[in-house]
Amino acid sequence: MRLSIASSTLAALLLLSGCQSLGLGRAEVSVPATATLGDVVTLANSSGASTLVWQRDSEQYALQSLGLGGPLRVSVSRLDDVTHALLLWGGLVVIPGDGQDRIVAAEDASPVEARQVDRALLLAEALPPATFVMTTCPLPGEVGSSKDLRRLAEQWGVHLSGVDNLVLAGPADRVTKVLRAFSAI
Amino acid sequence: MKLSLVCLATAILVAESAQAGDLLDFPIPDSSVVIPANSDLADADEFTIEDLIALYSKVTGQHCLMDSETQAYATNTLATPLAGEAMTIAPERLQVTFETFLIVNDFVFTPLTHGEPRLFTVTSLNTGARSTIKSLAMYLPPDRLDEAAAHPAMLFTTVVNVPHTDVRQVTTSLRSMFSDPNTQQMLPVGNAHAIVLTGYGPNVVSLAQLLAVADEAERRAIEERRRAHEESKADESAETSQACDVSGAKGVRVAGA
Repeated sequence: MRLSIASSTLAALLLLSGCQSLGLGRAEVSVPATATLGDVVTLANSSGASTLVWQRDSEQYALQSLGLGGPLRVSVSRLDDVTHALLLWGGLVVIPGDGQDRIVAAEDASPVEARQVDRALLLAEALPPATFVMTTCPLPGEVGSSKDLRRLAEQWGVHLSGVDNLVLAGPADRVTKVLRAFSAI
Repeated sequence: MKLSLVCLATAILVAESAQAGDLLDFPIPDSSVVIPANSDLADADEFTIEDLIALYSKVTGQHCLMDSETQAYATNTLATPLAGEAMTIAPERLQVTFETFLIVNDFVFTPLTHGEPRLFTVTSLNTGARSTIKSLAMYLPPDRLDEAAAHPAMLFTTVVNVPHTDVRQVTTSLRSMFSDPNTQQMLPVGNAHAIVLTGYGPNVVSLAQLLAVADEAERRAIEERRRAHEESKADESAETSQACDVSGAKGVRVAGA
């Protein structure tokens, strides 16, 4: 039995390193130094890493320059996450859809469009950072004041609504920060 | 077969987690970094914040993002403290030195990704971004707060628990210490005794230390008051029993008389 676990693990690692040495899962794309947010989104879509579309009225953000000092090489497996990080930096969020995700200015995003997610998923950082999500907090039976939650939400620009059952809505990265700070109180 | 799949998944997870880093684990260059003295350069080649960022990015393999407003400031701001002599920075001191030069010139540093490629952003406090800069603060759990001390240009938020302190009173009385509400804040939270602190790394660390000292002093004062109260209660009951003894003795004498 022990031998079987060891050999299976070894086989898995060999397979993984084999794939990597062959370049599988390590394909890279290059983002030019002069790239705009729109260029990155186009690159992410064309390489199959993302399925993003600009919401009308948010298209102006596509022209925003990244101000990169030099070209940026990104593996395709990381491209969706990196695109999200850049969008969030640019003041945008991504509203998940069925097969097509919409890029919207954070200030224009309506909380009702956020994707309901489990808190554990956020704390595990399992979602790309600009994903527009909502989650309830505090959970039933959990201690914590709504006033405190409101203060933390304000700090990170997260939308908070509700009276008894409070709902946090915002980009996954920021909602996670609010949840972490709230749990430390 | 099932076991093999589990092992495969485990191996992939292990490999992935080994690749993922921590936002505060910054790459350290292989050798010392030399920053030229501005006095040795022609006016057109003067060493600016933009040059400093480019140098830092190159030696650490990271990539910087800047909005156009910040970029204009970075291009036009001389790395003034370097005007004297050329400076050699030891590899392990590069991060803190780089951040120090940023903050003395009103630039905030924020890491954006911890996986490859590593991205960071620099924001000038002289731009409109100043009013929303707090949203870039990184949350650091209280048990990791010491790590913030080495990051003078990064904004952090943490929660400090001070169980013996009246947090509302403390935060009100210390409010005057906070000169810039855009980058600093101290909020009382919770029915328990907790304070949310936001600010630059070293400031947050020293404020948390100050609060811990004040909390410890308060704990001692509470203990002192309790001891004094218990002693006075003990004295009172001793006096009462003495009085009882006296009156009892009197009673005996009266009865004896």
